[in-house]
Amino acid sequence: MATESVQEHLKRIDLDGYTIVEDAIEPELLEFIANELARIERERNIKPARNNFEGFKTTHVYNLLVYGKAFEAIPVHPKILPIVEGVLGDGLLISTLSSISIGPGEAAQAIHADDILIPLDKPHRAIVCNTMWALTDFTDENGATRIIPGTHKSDRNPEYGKQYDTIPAVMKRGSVLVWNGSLWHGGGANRTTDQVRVGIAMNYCAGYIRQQENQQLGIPREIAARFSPKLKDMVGYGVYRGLIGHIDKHSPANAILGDPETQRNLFDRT
Amino acid sequence: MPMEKEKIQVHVDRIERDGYTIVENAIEPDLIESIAGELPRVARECNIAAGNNPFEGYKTTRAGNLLAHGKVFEAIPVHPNILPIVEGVLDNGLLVSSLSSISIGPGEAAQPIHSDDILIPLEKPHRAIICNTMWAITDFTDENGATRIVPGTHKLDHSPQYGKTYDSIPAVMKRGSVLVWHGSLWHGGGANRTADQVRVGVAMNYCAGYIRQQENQQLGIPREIVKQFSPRLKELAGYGVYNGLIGSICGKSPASAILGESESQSLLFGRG
Repeated sequence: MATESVQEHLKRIDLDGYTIVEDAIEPELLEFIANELARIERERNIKPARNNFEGFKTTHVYNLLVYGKAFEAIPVHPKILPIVEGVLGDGLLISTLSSISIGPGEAAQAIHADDILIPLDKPHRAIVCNTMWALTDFTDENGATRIIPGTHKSDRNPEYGKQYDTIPAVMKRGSVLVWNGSLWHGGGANRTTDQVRVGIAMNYCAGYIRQQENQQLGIPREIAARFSPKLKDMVGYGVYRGLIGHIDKHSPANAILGDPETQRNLFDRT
Repeated sequence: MPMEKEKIQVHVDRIERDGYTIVENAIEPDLIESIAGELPRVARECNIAAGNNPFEGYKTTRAGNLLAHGKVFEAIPVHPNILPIVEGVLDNGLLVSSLSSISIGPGEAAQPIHSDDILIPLEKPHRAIICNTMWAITDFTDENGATRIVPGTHKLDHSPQYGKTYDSIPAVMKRGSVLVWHGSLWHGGGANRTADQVRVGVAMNYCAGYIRQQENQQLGIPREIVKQFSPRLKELAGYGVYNGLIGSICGKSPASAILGESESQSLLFGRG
């Protein structure tokens, strides 16, 4: 993506708390992901979670990086990652990678911020930056993510269960919504009778924040071993600023997987 | 004998006010002796040599990732006279960030003054996200390299300038005492001006449950070793979950998902 365009998206996230990258993803990749997702849901007989926050007519598949190549392309996508790096800084991590399919008749999700469980005083710099990939069109009717622009600058979190004025992040299949983890938002109600709204929630955190999904223990080592070097860094096999996350002064990629070091240890730099 | 609530609060309040506290005679002599007895073995097995840079020193040896190197070290993170104080600073979901030994040899120069959260780019001052402790395995004296501290600096809006000299005081303490500080406090290892004393400390460092551990405990400690940790130590190493969600694997704690244990916490979104 052109640098100017990255800068424009960053400005929007800074100002409004979110941006939409239109037509970001190649149709072939979208189709590959959609097919793989359908296969996994079928094979694993995935059912709705059945609680207020995750919904009763919504299916989630978690920890997607264990399921194959289609999903490995998501965290490092060249149209999206540079924007997220601009928000969180180099050294960012994958916090979670999951699918969210909102079925017909689902109620709206409670408005929340994705960093709500982290007790730092607000507002603070972005420590979480999340993205929603539209695998189907996202419409006002089928459950497009609801957002409250500017709330990433608020000094508090929304009140759980309260109604707020929101706007829907309407976007076409292949577009991606990117937001500051402090932005107030929630999944929309699906008021259609026959459309499932399918999205991929690709969530990132800064390199000094604990990942929400434990990628390091949750992804079998033999699967992580075949990831690209960048993807390995992003699941936690790298080291933040030459120190945080190391094993005996080596990166986990080096210490555990036997890869060559790509970074120098902080204290051994001259 | 676990520490009384009032005493814990006195230490937590001191850390809030000054950025640090010293817990005198916190550790049983037997435990100190066992740790002191094991460190030479670890140094030998891990081929530990003195550092070779100004931050880690040239006459100072460090052994890292101690939880992977022997049973005796498992008593350190969960010590009943220290952990409750650190929980008071960070909250109960805290993690082991790193566990290492630091032995400052005769003739070592003072370490540059720094704060332990210096690499984390959150605006300062902020609530404690790191809380570190130094166990005195030998007496810590002004002469042998007691940690130098700059009281109150945990409330500043910036980190110290690297290599600059600041007025500091030595955290003088007896073998068996423990220095506990807010991760934003400015401090550094002291110069060892003795001819023949090695100042031995165990740096037991904690971070909040939403912060990435400085030493990767999860990949760095072999799973068969973690398996025989106490339930609390497993959580501290990262096999638990913060606030019912952060660090989970498909709606379960790593202790349950990876080690097959029963859940000790309820997860935020119960799986019905």
